[in-house]
Amino acid sequence: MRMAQEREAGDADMGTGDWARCGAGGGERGSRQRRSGDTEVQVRAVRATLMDSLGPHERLVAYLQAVLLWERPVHSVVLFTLTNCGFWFFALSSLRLLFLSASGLALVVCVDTWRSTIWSKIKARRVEESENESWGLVQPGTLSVPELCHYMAEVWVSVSSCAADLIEFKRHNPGQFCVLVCGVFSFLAMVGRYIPGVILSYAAVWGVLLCPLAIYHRLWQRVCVRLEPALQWLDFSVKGYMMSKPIDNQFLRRSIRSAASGDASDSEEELAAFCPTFDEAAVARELALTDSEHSDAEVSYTENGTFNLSRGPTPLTEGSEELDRHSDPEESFAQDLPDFPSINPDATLMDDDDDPSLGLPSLGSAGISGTRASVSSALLDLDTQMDSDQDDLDTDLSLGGFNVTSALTGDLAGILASNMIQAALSGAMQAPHAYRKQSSSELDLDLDLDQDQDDFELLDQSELNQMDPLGGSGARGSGQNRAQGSSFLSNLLGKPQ
Amino acid sequence: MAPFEKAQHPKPFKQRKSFATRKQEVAGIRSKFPTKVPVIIERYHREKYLPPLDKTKFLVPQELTMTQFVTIIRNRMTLMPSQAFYLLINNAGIASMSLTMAQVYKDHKDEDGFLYMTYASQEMFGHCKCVDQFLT
Repeated sequence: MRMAQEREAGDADMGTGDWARCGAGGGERGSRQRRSGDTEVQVRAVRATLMDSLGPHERLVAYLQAVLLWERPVHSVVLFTLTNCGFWFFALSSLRLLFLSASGLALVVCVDTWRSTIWSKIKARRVEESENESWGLVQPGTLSVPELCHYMAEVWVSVSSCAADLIEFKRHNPGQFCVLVCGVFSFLAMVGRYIPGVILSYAAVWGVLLCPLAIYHRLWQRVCVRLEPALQWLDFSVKGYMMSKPIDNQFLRRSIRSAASGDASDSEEELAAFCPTFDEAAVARELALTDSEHSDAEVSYTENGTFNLSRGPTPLTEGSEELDRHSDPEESFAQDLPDFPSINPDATLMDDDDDPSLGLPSLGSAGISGTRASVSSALLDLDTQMDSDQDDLDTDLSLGGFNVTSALTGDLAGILASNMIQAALSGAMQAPHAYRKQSSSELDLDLDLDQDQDDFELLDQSELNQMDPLGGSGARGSGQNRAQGSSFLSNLLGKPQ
Repeated sequence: MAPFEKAQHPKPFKQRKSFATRKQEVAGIRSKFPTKVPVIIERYHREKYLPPLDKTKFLVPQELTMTQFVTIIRNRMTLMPSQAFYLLINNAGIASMSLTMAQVYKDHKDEDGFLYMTYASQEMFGHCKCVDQFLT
């Protein structure tokens, strides 16, 4: 019985909205469902009574919320000043508590009498206003009356169940209850002994006034988000210290251990020293750190946000068909670019996608010619890639097309994904300011990987030059055209070359 | 979720009030709040799962989009994320969610000046005729 009560209290304490989810979730135990169903029924009943009392005053509720949330600054300032004045009047006046409570009760009696005497008039006015009464207000930022009633009902039900739980606890083991209550109240007495009551109550008043604002702006979540990198950094630094320590102390410990143990542990230690354990969590944390820090890569991609947007946010998400589209339409894209008004480069690619020559059977020949163009453009761009990040990315893209054509028979998506992951990992492991160097080394690596294809392509190009000088110049011209296109694009994007 | 059996108003808003009353009401509220749109939201008469709203008439800011409006109405009914909710305009169809209330009001407002909406948990394809029969 007690267990059940405690669990009920736990359910009620779980927070707003949990009761409903418990009621809806099918796979729970029957008793728990029944209990959450009871809670739901209670919440609904309390909510109905609250709705009856608060329903006609929706405008007032919305106005109060707006004032508390500083949507009407003048009214909010007036409210804050009035509250402060009232507080300091009660705090500094020499009036006693008994006087205050007695006068407050008198006021309540007066108000009650007034309402009961003028009740008939109010009633008459309400009947008259009943046609206009039922307007519901829709305000984007604030809670409507039903929501407010719902939350209040939830709080009310959870508090009452908590109180019932406490009473049950007191009835069953009074000793523990006495100790608990004595501890809590002695702590409060100590607090009250050292901090004046005026300051405490003033802080409470300010807390009540500022609490809606903090909830509305999600201050707690924001603080958590802000603090998270710092906490991660702390955690990471401790972890790194723990990881680096055995390696640092290896020689010290070896001299101590060599007397005690044999060679086996020694070799293990050596292995551990030469093969540093790769903690995935640590790497992920480091990645998050480098993301949160100010890195070159971030800047270079976000300097021209439009470019980033038009290309798609991550290279991993753009599929293989997007990449193999780059091989052939690049030329047409570069040719069409000067008289193309739009900024979005993907739009032109999409238009070229309708081209029937891009079908799968013609992809082989088209791929070879496209590869030749892309290699020459890549070589051109290798010279200019230090100048602008725009070209940097273009080379990446053209190399992506290059890879696609070389691996048409193989598993295309797998290679691409592994390349991307490898690049991302190496970028994360290196210092963030070495992005440029890393990208160029990555280019070299890619070129080395496809060395044979590269040689073949160059040979092919020289042959083509020998056979037909016009063709070679044409290929080079297309590359230059493409470079011009990229420079045009970067000019269009407002990027200094 | 237990089905809500009791109906809020047995008769639709248009049958409860005469045309002149409605028109007068719209004129009054438009003169008082010129930046807000008077909207009537009623439950689809065969709706079994969605709870009734506490109000029928709503004053909606003009600049609100349909998405925000639907979200607010959902919050008002304290619907769970798993519950479907469709807002049909003039019993005819679903408006584009990116339109603002002013645009929707301009396109779909009734003769009396209200904007009529019906909410349901299903889209109710092809129900227009029967609703029209029901209304007339």
